[in-house]
Amino acid sequence: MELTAGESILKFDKQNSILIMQGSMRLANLTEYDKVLKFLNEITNMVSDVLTVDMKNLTFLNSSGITTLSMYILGIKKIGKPKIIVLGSNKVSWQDKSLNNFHKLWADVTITIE
Amino acid sequence: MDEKKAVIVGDFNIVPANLPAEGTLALGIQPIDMVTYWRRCSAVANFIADFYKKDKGDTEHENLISTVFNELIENASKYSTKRDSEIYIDLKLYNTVLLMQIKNVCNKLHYESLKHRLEKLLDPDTDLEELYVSEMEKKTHGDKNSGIGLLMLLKDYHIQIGAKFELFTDDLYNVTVQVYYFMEEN
Repeated sequence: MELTAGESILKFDKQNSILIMQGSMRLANLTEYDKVLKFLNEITNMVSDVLTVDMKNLTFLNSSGITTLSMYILGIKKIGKPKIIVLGSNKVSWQDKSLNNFHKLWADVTITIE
Repeated sequence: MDEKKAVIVGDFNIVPANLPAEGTLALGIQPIDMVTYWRRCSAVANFIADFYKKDKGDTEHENLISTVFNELIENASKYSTKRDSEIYIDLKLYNTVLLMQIKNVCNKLHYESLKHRLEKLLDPDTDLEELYVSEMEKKTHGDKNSGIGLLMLLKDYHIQIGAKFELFTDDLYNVTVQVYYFMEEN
C-alpha cells in the first residue's frame, strides 16, 4: 500500500510490518493531513504486535505533520497495540531534535536514531 | 492599550542596531500566492537554508534552518490578510546567530491570538514539555487548529523569539516576528 502526500510518499510493507516515509511532508493544515491519518489507521489494522516506522529518508516534517503523527500515536496508546518503533537518521537534523517527542506521548514508542 | 504604541513580546531587537551583519537577504512575497501554491512555503524555506548553510556539506544547518523558517513562513502565509498585503522577509547573519525576521499584516483576532500564545510560551512558569503533551491530547478530541509550530521551535531548537505588533488601520496590525537561531558547531 502506498500514499502520496504532497512531496512525500508512504509505503507500507505488510509482510514485515514496516511503514517507510520518504521525502518532504509539509502539508498545509490538519485537514490536509486527514488522508495521512486515515492511511495510518488502515495499515495499523493489518499489524498485530509491532509497527516499524522508518523515517530515515523523511527530510522534512512540519508541525502539522508532527501533530498528526502525535494524534495517531495517542490513538494507538488508547488501544495499547501495536507497539511502535520509529527509525530515524542522525543525518536528518530535525529528527535529532523532534523525534523523541513521540516517546514522550507513549513510553511504548521506541525511537532509534542511527 | 495605547493603539499607536507598538506592543513587544519576547526577545525583539536584541542585536544592537549598529552591529554590522555578515550576510543579509531580503525577500517580498504575497500570502495569496503561498496559500494557493502551498509548496512555495517550503521552496522559500529551502532556498534560505541553502543560502545560509556554511558550505555544501553542511546538511545539519541546512535542515534545521529550513525547518525553523518553514514554520514562520507557514504561519505568516496562513494568518495574513490575503489581498493587498505582502510578507516581508529579512535575514541577517551575525557570526553564528541568524536573525530571521518576517513581517506581515493580520487582523485583530490573530493579533490577540498570537500575542497570547507567545506570552504563554515565553512565560517562565510554562513547562513546554507538559504543554506539548497536554495540547496533543486535546487535539485527539477534534481540535483542528494545528498551532504547535512555535511551541516545537522553542522546545526543540536553539532559538530565541520575539514579536512586535503595530496597529495601523481599523483592525489591521503589522506583525513582525523575529527568531534568533543559534547555529551550533558541527
